[in-house]
Amino acid sequence: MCREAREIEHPGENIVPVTPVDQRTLGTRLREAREARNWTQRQVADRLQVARTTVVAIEKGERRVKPAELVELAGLYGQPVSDLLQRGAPAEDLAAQLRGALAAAPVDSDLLPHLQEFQALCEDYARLEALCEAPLRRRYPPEVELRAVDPEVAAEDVAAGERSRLALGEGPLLNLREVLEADVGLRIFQMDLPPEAAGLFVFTQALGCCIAVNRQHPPEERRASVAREYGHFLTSRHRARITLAGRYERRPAAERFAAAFARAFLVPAAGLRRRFLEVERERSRGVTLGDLCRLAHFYAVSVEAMTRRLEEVRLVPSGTRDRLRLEEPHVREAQRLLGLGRLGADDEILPPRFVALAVEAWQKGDLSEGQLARLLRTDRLGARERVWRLETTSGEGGETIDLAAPLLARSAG
Amino acid sequence: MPARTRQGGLLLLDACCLINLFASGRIEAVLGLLPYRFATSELVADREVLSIRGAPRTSGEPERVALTPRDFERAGDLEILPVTSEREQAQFVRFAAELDDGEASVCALAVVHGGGVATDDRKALRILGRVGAEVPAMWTIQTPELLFEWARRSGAAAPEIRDALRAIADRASFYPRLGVPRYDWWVRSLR
Repeated sequence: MCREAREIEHPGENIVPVTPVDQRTLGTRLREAREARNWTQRQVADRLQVARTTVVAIEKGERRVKPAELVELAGLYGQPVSDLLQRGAPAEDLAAQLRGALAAAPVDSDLLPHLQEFQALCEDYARLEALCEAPLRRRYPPEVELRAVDPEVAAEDVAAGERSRLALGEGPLLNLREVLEADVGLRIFQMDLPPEAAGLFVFTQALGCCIAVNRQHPPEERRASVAREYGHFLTSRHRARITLAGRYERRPAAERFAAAFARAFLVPAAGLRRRFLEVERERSRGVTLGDLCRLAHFYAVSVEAMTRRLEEVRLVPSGTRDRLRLEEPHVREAQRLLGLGRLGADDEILPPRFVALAVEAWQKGDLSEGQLARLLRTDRLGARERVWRLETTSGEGGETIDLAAPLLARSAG
Repeated sequence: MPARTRQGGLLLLDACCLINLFASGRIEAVLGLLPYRFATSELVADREVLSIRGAPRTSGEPERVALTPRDFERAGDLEILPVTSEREQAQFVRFAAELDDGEASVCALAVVHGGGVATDDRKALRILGRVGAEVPAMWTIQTPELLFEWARRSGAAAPEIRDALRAIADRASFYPRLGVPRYDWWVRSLR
């Protein structure tokens, strides 16, 4: 195109203050970006018209990458230059753990891009916390040793212990995501994963426990997946994991524990027993399918999961699930007749605290609007809408609430 | 850094200002009436997802309308500049360590070509303020000042000004921060 803008000379131009960029970190990010595209160092060197050893040196942080090279590399890898510069050092062993989990998972779909996005979400969260000086408080329970115990029995016990530790009582746990984030310190995302993937789990010292569940699954299943991944954290937190829906022929002990823990944590035995017996007392002819639907709705689990749980705590005979043949359309019709709406879907990819921190950082001027939009996985208008929702406008002046303002002034010293 | 008006000079529109001008429904008038050579970067024009909300609908959320700055380039009202020279790329990479690519490209072009940057972004304004001390040919301006100038030069009546400012709030979820230049005028005009 015709360029009419002329460059001007001014003496101050070369002393623009910027955030120093660590060449080693940038090199690592460039290597990750190249690998994500399945490019070899040779191919990249050919495109840049440099020696392969130059690409090797850049990726090791031994040679400073020139601005024009960085722009070209970002273009090749389809990544914004700002992302490469700003993402900081990768969390220790996070990518390696996720690669290990991928190698162990018999998946048909290409999960690698999803794992990279999961990694980005976890790192973004940590970066926001550092920016806002608001680390997520961790209240992790000790790891559960599964040797020489029945996983299902142990799960029941641990679930009751966790409920008690977190003062959750024995009722339904509707705001599961918020509770596990605020009271335990888990980072829980919802991602659009391939249908066979139910959940992702990873733990590092720097990031803590991070979980992603499949946003495409029904809300009840997602809640079960969150609880199950928490179960993984309790028994084997130092190994990343990809949980596949119904893919285990012979489930390992940790998997059996996690599934049983999820059921017991979401529907505690004592509370269920009391409620079930109350219903039973009211019914001269026994508990009905409608009662089952109501119980499932009360605990925000699927009817199938509730029936299984009732079998597990021996309130209904085993085999009830098979006898009822709880097919989805049949259950939905029953729920409709009973006026039981579907569980209010929390479809947010990001935890509410992540969004609040991002908006706070933007309000303080620590993030630009473009950065805010990228962090919130939306465009600029979407980012503004999130801010608009979090800020309360009042009066003609449109004065806003400053989320970053401390409620009480702290005395010095 | 105080806003300085450089009549006839290059004024680079950041994505946030561009969205606001589109949302006002008066972008053609602003580009035509104000005494600047309006421009934006290729990264903003072609890579950013720029949209505003459409007209309200009887039910449901209003549709989104995609913005196409290239239309204004074709009409000759807006230049769209690439970041290609060594100096532009060096500045772009420096700004990209703190801003996103679109914002960084606009700032880099302004530094190299000695223009103004139209942005409402607090972080961008802060960084440009730092840089501005060393680059006197660069200056900044914000949406309320652009709309104020449009209102003054067009002689628009109060109801039209109010409609334009309301449209920016309704279609682009933008309201100026307390204390920005022409904030009081904005608030008064909305009454």
